[in-house]
Amino acid sequence: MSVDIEAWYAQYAPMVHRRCKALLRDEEEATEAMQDVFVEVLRRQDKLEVDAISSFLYRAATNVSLNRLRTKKRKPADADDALIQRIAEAPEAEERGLAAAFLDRIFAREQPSTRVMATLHLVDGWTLEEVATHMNLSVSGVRKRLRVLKAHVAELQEAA
Amino acid sequence: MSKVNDYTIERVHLGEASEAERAAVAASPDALERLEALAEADARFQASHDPDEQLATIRRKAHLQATRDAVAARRSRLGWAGAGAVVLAVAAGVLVARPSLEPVEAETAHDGRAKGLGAALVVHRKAEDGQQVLRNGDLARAGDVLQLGYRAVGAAHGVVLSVDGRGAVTLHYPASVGGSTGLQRGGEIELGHGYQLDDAPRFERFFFVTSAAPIDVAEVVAAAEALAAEGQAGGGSLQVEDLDEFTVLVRKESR
Repeated sequence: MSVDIEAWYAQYAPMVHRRCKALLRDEEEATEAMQDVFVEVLRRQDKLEVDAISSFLYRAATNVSLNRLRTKKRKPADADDALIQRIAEAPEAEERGLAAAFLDRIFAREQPSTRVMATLHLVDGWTLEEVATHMNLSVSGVRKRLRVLKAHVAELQEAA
Repeated sequence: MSKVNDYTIERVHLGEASEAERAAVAASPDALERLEALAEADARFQASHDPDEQLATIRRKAHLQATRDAVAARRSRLGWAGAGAVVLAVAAGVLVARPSLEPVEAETAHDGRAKGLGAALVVHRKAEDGQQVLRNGDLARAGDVLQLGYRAVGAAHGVVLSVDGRGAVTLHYPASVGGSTGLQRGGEIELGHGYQLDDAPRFERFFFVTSAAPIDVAEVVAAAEALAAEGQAGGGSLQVEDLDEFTVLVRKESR
């Protein structure tokens, strides 16, 4: 699809930045992550298939932020922060181990990211129904995916 | 009743919410308060993030990333072709392996043609009693201040950068990726600033690429980053198409 990046930025950049900052808790990091979201939109616009722009960008902001957390392995500031970090470091069900693959999923054909689901449900407090609607999945599908990731997060918790 | 999530409030703020979502926000004093705060948050964001600057940065990053992808793809193709060429050269007995840090000719094009008195990169070491020319393979130390210069004979545009033993790429000319690559004519032209060597180990290798036409600086930087990532910065070529390439490798010794 052809993307009017100026229009997308004008309309959604504040939301994207807020989302990144909520997860990264750092103004500068959030600005860089916000830029990276729009960079990926530009780079992959030919492959993008987006029905709801705000929903797509909110997921993308979550995914890019988790990816940055995964790379930086920062020291968590509190319990919520620690949970976000553990989710960021958890493997996807079909993990290929590369940041590029991670971004490919969210920006190309929109394969649902378990980490994004986990962040929405476990960190942001969304109901399973809300997560399912946002991710275009069934509630049972979300529950199943989260079960695997929850087990991994618990393992990480025990190991910490 | 569960707490209204942030995204729903964003949707109401954006004017994209359904009637049910708007009703949920309207029924929650907490959600209404968070909704009202978004207008102020938008204003703060706009005040601290100039949209023109942000979009320029986003485009520059996207271009750089696309260039990196293209360079990586080209290097991958050339890698296979180069491997084939090496096999043929060894079979013909014309290739002698050399360590990656062995000095290469200071003035050579990437295709190996000697450039004679053509364009050149000049590296001086500043000293109390003047300047000393550093030639390919000369030794220098962390803390030495180098003055870079070029001769633009036959070239209208150029880019000067260096890669150190840690793989860090430093752009020396132009001053930024978006700067003009136009070269000055008239003998040796010094860049407007000195360059102090840091404690990166082994070497600092300077590259001067030239062309008759303006150069995509991002592509050259990406090629240098790719070379460094491959561990070939001490001896490999940037392999940027249609550009002549000159290098000077300064070996590092610790103080």
